[in-house]
Formats: sequence, C-alpha cells, structure tokens
Amino acid sequence: MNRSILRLALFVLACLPAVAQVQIDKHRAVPAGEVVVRISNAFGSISVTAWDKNDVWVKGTVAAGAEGLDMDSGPSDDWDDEDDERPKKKVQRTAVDISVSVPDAWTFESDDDTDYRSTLDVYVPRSSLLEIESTNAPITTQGTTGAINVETVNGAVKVAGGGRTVELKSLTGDVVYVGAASEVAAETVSGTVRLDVQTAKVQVQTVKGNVTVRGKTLSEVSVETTAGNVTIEGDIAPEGRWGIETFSGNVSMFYTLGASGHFRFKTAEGQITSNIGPKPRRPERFQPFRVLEFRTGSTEAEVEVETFSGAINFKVPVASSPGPL
Amino acid sequence: MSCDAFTDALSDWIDGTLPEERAREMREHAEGCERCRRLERDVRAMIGTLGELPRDDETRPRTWAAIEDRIRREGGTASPWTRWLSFAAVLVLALVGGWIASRPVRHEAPVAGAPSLPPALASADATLLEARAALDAVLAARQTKLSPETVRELEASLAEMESATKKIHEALAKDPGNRDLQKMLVASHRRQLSVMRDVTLLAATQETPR
Repeated sequence: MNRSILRLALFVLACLPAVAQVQIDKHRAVPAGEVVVRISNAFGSISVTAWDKNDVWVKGTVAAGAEGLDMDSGPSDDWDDEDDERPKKKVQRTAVDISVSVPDAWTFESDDDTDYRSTLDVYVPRSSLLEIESTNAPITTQGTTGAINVETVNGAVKVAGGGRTVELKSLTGDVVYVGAASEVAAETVSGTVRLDVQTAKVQVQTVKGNVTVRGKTLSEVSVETTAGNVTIEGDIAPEGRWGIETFSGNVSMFYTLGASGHFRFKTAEGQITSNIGPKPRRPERFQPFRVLEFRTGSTEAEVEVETFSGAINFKVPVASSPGPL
Repeated sequence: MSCDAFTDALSDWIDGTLPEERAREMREHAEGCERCRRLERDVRAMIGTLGELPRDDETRPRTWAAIEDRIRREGGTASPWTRWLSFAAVLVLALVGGWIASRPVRHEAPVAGAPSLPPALASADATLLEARAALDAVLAARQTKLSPETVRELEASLAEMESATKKIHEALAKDPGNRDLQKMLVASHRRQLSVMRDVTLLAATQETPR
C-alpha cells in the first residue's frame, strides 16, 4: 500500500510541470492584405502555419514561471527593405506582436531549459510577413507567401514557402528551406544548411556547417564556409553567377542537364575532379594553386570555386565539349 | 520603433548609411530604451579599437584612414563591395582585399628570409587582432547569456577559423606575394569578425524586450 502511494506521489510530481503550464488560445482579427506577424519565444518551440483567414490565432502552452503571453496589434511603420535598388520608403501595415515574456533570471546557466519551455502554434494569414526570433526553440513555418526573417541561437529552423526574401539565421541549429522565394539567405556557425529552391538568388554562410543547395535553375549562388562541405545540385541560369569559397570544406557540384558557361576551379592543397574540361594545371611554376578553367556551351554563366584544402568535384550528366577560353 | 527594428538597423546606423529620418528614429529609440542604448554602446565599443566613429557621420575611423593612406601610397584602390559589411574592421579588410585584387601578380620562387606580409596587409592583420580582443571582451561579459553548449560550439567554430587563418599564414610565409592567399586571409578574418559580431548581437538581443 505504502509503495503504491509512493508511486502515485512520484507520478504526480513528475506530471507537475506539465500541469502547471498555462494553456493559451488567443485570436486577433486583422485586415485583409499584408500583415506583419512578429513572434518571440526564447525557449520551447514556435510553429507557424498559413491559413486563409484574416485572423491570427495562437494556441499552445506557456511555461509555468513565464510572465505570460503578450499579443498586441496595431499599425506599424516599416521600412520597405525589399529592393536595394530603390530608395527605402515607409510602408504602413498592421502588425501583430506575439511574445512570451520570461523573467530576467531565466538565462542559460545549464543546458537544461525544460522548465522554461513554451510552445506556440500560430496560424497566420497566408500573405503575412514573418519576423521570428528565439533562443532555444526550433522554429517551423509553412505556407506563408510574404517575406520571412528568422533568427535563433540554438534552435533548428525549418521553413517551407515564402514568396520574396527569406532570411534564416541560427548559430548552432540546422537550417532547412523548401520553397520558391526569389532570394534566400541562410547563415549558421555550426548548423547545417539545406536549401531546396526554384530559381532563387541564394546566399549562404557557415563556419563548419555543411551546405546543400538544390534547385532547378540557380541564378546566383554565393556560399562561404570555413570547414563545411558544400553540395550544389542543379543547373546554372544562362547568365547566372556562382561563387563558392571554402577553406577545408569539399565542394561538389552536380548538374542535372548540361554544363554551359565559364568555369574556374582553384585549390591550393585539394584535389580537382571534373568529368569535363582539361586537366587542372598550375598557371605559373611557383603558384601554389592549381586551376581548372574552361568554357563550354554558349551561355554567359560564370562559376568560380576556390578552396585552400577542400576537394572540388564537378559532374555533368552529358559530356559537353569545352571550348577554348 | 521596436527593439527588433533597432537591432536590425544598428549596423547601418553606426555605418552612417541610414536615411536621415530613420537615423532620427534610431536616436529617439536609443534615448528612450536603456537596453538598446547599452547594445549600441557595446557595438560602438567594439568599433572603438579602430578609432572613434562619430554618430551619423561618415568620418572614417582613424586607423582605417591610416591604412587607406598607406594603401594609396602603395598604389592600390578600394573595393566597392564593402557596403554590406557592418564594422569598420571589416571595412579595413575589404579595402585591403581591393588593394590585393588590384595589384599585379608575379609568382617567384620562395626565398628564405623573405618579408612575411605586404605592409598594408600586416597592418590590417594587427589592427584586426586588436578588434578581436575587444570583441572577446564583449563576449566574455555576455557569455552567461549563452548556454554552455552554445559557448562550446562557438569556441570550436572560432578555433576552426583560427586554425584556417594560421594555415593561410603559414602558406603566406612561404609565398608572401601570393594574391590568392592574401585574399583568403582577408576572407578568413572577415568571417571571424562576422561571426563574433553576430554572436554579440544575438547575445544582446536575448536581453532586449519587445
């Protein structure tokens, strides 16, 4: 009997944090058109889903010791940063701010943040512009068609959708993007980056996270990493520009159709392997870099890859016949 | 203006590239928000090692100007692709990168006892070490805001970058005039500073309420 009571007591104690979490269920009606939705939740998780209603809905749980969930809305003067070519101008939109307030004492003295976690499931109008930040929370968004900006320290970032610019940044978490955004920028220190895009302009920076970019036709690709391996699967647009720079990371490029453009691969200590083009050579006797450079096809595309010790591997499915430079 | 908008635009504000109206909003927000004011102070302190950068002023830091003068004397030109880089230290690197790109290159047999680095690059190297020390100090003060695991990850990544930089230095010692190696060194430094900047801003952002 005593043992049963003890077991029951232990069970109840184990369930206490879950019981103590506060359930949330809040709605905010918004006008039709573009709405800015800003979400901040330091610990736990953030999940955003697009729906076809002029309403922002937040449900989930807030950690027991948190100060609460704030949900405010109102006009917001934002600067239209979408186009660097245009003078920046102010745009007035409705903004909905959703944030979990936590005590200042909630910092990161240990790796265990179990008691601090709040779970936010947010439903937003499809055309929403998203600005999300967190510390230790995985972030997922799906289905929205406006610009997306996500910043987190440790959480993984997984985004599907986004119509224009998408900027994803995580210090140690992995970043995954699938969608048709016209510009995608991803940055991590040690997390991996996987982008599955259409014809986007892609910019990626990591220190040691591996990078994979997949796309049907990639117009601009810029990848910089110190030690991450880089894999590009797709074809370059006729006037596309790819620039890939690593220190020790290996670079692999797999074309799905044929190669066309000007290709220049350069490495000091790595190997260069290509199933088309001439053999790598040293342009000058004492030059430490070996170079493989060739032109093939009729387009103006430019591909430049440079590593210090990383291997460069280039494969095209059909052997094109490289022409003179 | 929200604290997020302030943080996002901070680098541009410090660089003096914001439109006047937006710069005014930044000033007003900083005056009314103690945490953002502290963030601004920290970021400006990092830049401080490269010279005092006045608010909303295009005046260049003294150290940068000195390096630029030196580069000009050596016949180089500045690269135009510096706009997106936020900190004066990074501007120095970009400038040196432009100078490297503009120099004619001739590869010669490595000679024992040859000078280690071109003067402008060596100067930028030294300046960046100072900047790095300043960034480290800011980070040290912020580290309790990052989890131990994050700090370990960060330190490992920085060590990776430092190792890369060291290897490029070793290669440059054998071939000091190599333009490609010089460019790699510049890029390596730039990445290091960029990571340090991001970490500092992220750590600070954790303190910033909406």
